[in-house]
Amino acid sequence: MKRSQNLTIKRGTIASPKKMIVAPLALAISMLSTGCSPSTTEASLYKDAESCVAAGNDFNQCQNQFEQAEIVHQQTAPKFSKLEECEAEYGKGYCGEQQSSGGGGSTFMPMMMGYMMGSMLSSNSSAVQAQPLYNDRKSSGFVTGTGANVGKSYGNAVVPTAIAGKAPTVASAMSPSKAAAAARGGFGGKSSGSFGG
Amino acid sequence: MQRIPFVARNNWQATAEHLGFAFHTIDGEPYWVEGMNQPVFYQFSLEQIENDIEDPTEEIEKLCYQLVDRVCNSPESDELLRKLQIPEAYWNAIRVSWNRGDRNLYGRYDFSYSGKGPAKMLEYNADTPTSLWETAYFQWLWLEEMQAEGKLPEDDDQFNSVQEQLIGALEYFASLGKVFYFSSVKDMPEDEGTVRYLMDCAEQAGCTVKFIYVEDIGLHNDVEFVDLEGASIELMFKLYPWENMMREGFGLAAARAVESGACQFVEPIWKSILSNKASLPLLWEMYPDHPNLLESYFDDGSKESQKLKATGRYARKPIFSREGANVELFNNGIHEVAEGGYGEEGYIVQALEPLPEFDGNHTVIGSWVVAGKPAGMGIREDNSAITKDSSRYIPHIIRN
Repeated sequence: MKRSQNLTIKRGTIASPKKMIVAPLALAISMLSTGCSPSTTEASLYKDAESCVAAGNDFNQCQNQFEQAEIVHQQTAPKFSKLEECEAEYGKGYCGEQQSSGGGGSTFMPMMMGYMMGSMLSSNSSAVQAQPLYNDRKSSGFVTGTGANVGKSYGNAVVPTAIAGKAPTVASAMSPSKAAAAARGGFGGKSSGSFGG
Repeated sequence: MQRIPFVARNNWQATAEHLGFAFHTIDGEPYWVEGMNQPVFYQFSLEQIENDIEDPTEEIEKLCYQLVDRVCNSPESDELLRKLQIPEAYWNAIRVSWNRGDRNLYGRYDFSYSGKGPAKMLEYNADTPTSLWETAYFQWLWLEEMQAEGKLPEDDDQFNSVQEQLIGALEYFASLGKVFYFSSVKDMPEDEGTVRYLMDCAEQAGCTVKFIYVEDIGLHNDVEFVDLEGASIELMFKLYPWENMMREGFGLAAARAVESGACQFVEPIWKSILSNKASLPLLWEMYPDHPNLLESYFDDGSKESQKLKATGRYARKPIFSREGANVELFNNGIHEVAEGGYGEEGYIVQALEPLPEFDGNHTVIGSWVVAGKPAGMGIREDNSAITKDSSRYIPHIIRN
């Protein structure tokens, strides 16, 4: 009998061969939000109050919610001591400098790219708290102040209720994210060829 | 054991390229056998495989574990770790990792074997062995397709359950419930191919996997390894040698992460004892005259080392070296040397066991272990007596 007849797993079934070497890097993002049907809420993402009105919404409602989001932005936007740290999270050109009132140097924070508010079409528009949106460097979509991805473009979006219903209330600490703060390149410096043996 | 010519598979090149095996030819020279003008395979009897390769592999693996235990736990532990050129800052991590039973995944022994007499272990690639994919996957595919094309009889077999055993071993890591990171250095498509193959195996074993380049690994607050998104890395396979990691910026953080258990590395840090050629004289010291081991000493001017050198037939190898670099062979006045940048940590000398020659080719047998068990075999062939990264890969069959 052939030795290999004892093998129980069918040979050559390793997943699609293309995955072998040429597969693009799997994006980590997709792995984060694959839980079992979280409760979601309809929300709307607008650039500003004007585009909210242009979409057919009530002027006062649009203005109100926009101002609300701006306040949240001023009070809670993530702040960084270095421009590069901010841009590592939000992308080049998506961060601005802010002189601190005490004259103690400047800080950097992401620019508000729009805001999220309840969808007027939804029966439950009050389930969404108005809050600012920022550009996310990694996904090129919108993230909230707490870093939740909420959509790629303006318009209607389906957002987890836990995120839509709660605008950030506390200013993010003056520390950058772990990703931006981490030192890199501490391994691989001796790489000058294959490491096989 | 015979070297037998065959007719290459139809469209083998397209198959290889479709699978991403772009390095079947390296710098215009064939790496995979079917690129040769006259492709060949090696044929073994079942007795040769089972008695001369498989059993000794299992036995030597056990001896190696006894060596690791001696290095970690005997009264001479400090002295041995020093002889192994392992920096003192890593001793504790190595002992913790071994005594905690951190699992290892794989390794490859290189044997000199001609079909007769005992196979002699030349060295153990215990930390970052290569040619895994060629052995586990492409060589097996070759056999299946040769049989499908009627170029080999259906009864021909192969010593090869590497893939099955890898998946079996990876099921343990899946049970840890952590994201399993896989890492290789940038601009090394062969290494990345190996790593992506292992990721495929790990996924089949139920692991959640992610890839990160070695250079992209981050260290947060000097203690926590993180990926590019800032997520914590708690379980990582690295196709990157411990001996390098120990001499780089994040090395000490890795040692602390091993000690605390914050990050589990595969291969574990205790494998650095075995991937090190100083393990060869230490094994010989423990098991002198073992039929599968070669007489070996530190090249330190000792009486034994001088005596071996006086025979005029020995190999001199750097304690740290890969793919044959800086290995010197002395054979009765004939001196052969492979260039490279290794050797500053010292050398060992080993009794010469010239590789057998088949039709003028020097043949070395790679015997794979997965989770400590023999798993399969791959063969490399070179025009010179020192096997290097460019040596051709030759498949094998078992036929009785």
